[in-house]
Amino acid sequence: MAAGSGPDPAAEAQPPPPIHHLPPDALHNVLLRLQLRDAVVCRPVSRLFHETLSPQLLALLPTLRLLLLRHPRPDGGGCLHAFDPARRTWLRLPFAHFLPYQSFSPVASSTSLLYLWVETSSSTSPLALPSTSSSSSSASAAAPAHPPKSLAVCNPFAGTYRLLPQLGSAWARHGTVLAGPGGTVLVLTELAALSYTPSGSGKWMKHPLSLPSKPRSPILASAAAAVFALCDVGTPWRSQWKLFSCPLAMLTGGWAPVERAAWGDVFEVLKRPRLLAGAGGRRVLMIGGLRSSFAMDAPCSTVLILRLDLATMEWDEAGRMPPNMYRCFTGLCEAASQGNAMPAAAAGGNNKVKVFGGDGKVWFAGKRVRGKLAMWEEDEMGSGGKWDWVDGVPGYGDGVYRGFVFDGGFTAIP
Amino acid sequence: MAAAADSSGDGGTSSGEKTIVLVSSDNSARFEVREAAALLSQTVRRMIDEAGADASGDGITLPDVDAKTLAKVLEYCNKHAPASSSSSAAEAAPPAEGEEDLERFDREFVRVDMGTLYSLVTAASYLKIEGLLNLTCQTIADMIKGKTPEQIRKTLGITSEFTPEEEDEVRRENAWAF
Repeated sequence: MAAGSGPDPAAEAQPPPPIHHLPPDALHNVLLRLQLRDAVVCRPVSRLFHETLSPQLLALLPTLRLLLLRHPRPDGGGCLHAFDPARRTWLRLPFAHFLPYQSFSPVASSTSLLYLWVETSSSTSPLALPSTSSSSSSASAAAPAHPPKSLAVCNPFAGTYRLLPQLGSAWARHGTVLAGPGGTVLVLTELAALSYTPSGSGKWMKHPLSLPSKPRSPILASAAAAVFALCDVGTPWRSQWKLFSCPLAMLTGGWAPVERAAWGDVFEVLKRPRLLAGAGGRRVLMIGGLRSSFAMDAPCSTVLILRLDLATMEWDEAGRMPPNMYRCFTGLCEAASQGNAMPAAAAGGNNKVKVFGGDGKVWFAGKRVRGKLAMWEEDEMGSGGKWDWVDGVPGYGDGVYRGFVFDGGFTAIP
Repeated sequence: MAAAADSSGDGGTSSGEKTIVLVSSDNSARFEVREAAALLSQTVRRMIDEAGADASGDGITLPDVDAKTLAKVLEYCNKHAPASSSSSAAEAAPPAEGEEDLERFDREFVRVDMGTLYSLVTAASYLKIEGLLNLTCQTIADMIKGKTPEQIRKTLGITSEFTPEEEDEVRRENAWAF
C-alpha cells in the first residue's frame, strides 16, 4: 500500500523499476545486511545477484557458527552433518563434488577452514568404486595396510581445498590436530608435536615433547597463544591430572606445568576430565563427571563444567548438568520407563559421556542417548550457561558422536 | 514539533531560519525546505559549497531525482532534521523529534510499493542521506530474510535469467544453504 497522504494512481500505471537499476553500492548495502545463509540463498535468484554475491563480498559477512559432527566410519559417510545452534536446524555439507577423496575424517577447524585427514595413496580412484558391504576392505586391498594420509585444509562453503605435506599414517591414527590463527596447524602425539605454518618453510616441523605422559585433550587457547593439555601424573590404579601448557612460539621445550596453590584439589573432583576452549579463547573449560565421593570407584552424580580464566588464573564452576538430563546418560530414564530395577550406576563404559565442542559451546553424547545431544552454551556476559537438548541428530547408527565447532564462511580460502 | 517546509515564499521560517530551494530533475517541482533538512544530504551540502555565493534563490536542481521521489525524500528530511539550523551543528545535534516518534514515522514511511522503495534507495544513494539509505536498504534486506529464491524474486519483482540447469548448478554448489 502506498504511504503518504495524497492519492497516487500514477504508481499503478508504470511498472516498478527492476532492482537492476539500483546503484551497485546500494545493492551491496542491502546484501551486507543479511546473514550468511540468507545471502547464499540469494545466489540463484538472478545473474546480478550471483555476480554480486561473490566470495569476496561474502567474506565481509559474519561467519556461521556450526557444530560439526564427525562420522564414526572411516569413509566419512560422504557428507558432514552440522548443527546451527542459532536456528536449531541441521545442515548437510556434501563434499563429493569438490574433494576427490573417498575417505576423510574432519578433525579441526579455524575460521571458515576445515581440516580433514584424507587418504592420498596413488591407487585411489575417486568415487567410482561400487559400494558393497566389503568395499572398504576391497578398496584397500591394492594399497598398503596403512596408506599415507595428508591433512587437507578446505573451505566447504567455497568448495576449495589444498593438501598439506604428506605424513605417515601413524600421525593420523594417534595424533590430535589443532588449528590456529593464520593457518597454523599442530599435530600432537605422546612423544612429539608437528607444526606447520603456511608462511614458514612449507614443511612440517617436528618438536619433541617431554611431558610425563600422553597429553589428554590438548586445546588451543587463542587469546593466550598457547596449547593446554592434561597429563596423568598418578599411578595405574588412580589417575591424577595435572595441567600443562606451552606457548605456540616455543613448541620445542616450552611445555611446563600450570599450577597455583590456591587451586587446591580442583583436579580431584572430576572423573575423566576433558579440556575445551572457552568463549573467545580467553578461558579453558574442564569438563568431567563429578565424583560423588573421593573413593576410587565412586559413581558420578552429574557432569561438572569448571572454567579457568586465563587472565586471573582462577577456577570457578561454570555449569553443572541438570539431574534429569544426566539420568538419560546413565540409563536410569530407560530403566525406569521399562519398569526394571535400577542398574548399578558404574556399569563399565556404557555410562561414558562424550564431550566435544569449542569456543564456549559444549555438546554431550552418550550411547544411551539415541538421536539427541545435550548442549551447554557459555553465557557471553554472565558467569553461567544454558542447558538444552538438541534433537534430530542424523542417524549414525550406534556410533557415538564426536565433533567440534566450525565457523563457516568465506573469510579464508585455502 | 519541527517547523514544516514553508512554501509561502517569504524565504525563511518564522524564526528567520535559512531555507533552500530544491528542484526536481524534470524541473516540474520546486521545494523550499529548511536548510537543516536539506543539509542531511551530503550531495546538497557539497553543491551549496561549490556554488559559493548564495545561489539558493535559483534553487538547486537535482538531475537524478524526479518530483514524486523528491517530495517523499524531503518528507523524511523534514522529519529527521535537527532543531538547530547552523550547518556545523546539524551533524551533531539530535533531531527535534523524540526517538520513538521517529521510529514510528520510519516504519510507516517505508510502507510503499517496491517501485517507490527502489526509487528511494537510488535517491538516498545519490543524495548521500545516510539515515534514509540505511532505512531503505534495511527494509529490502528484511524482505529477503528467510525466503527461498523463488519467494525473493516474487517479492523484489525480479525475473531470473538462469536456465533451470544453471540454477540447479548454483544451488548444488551451495547445497549446504538449501
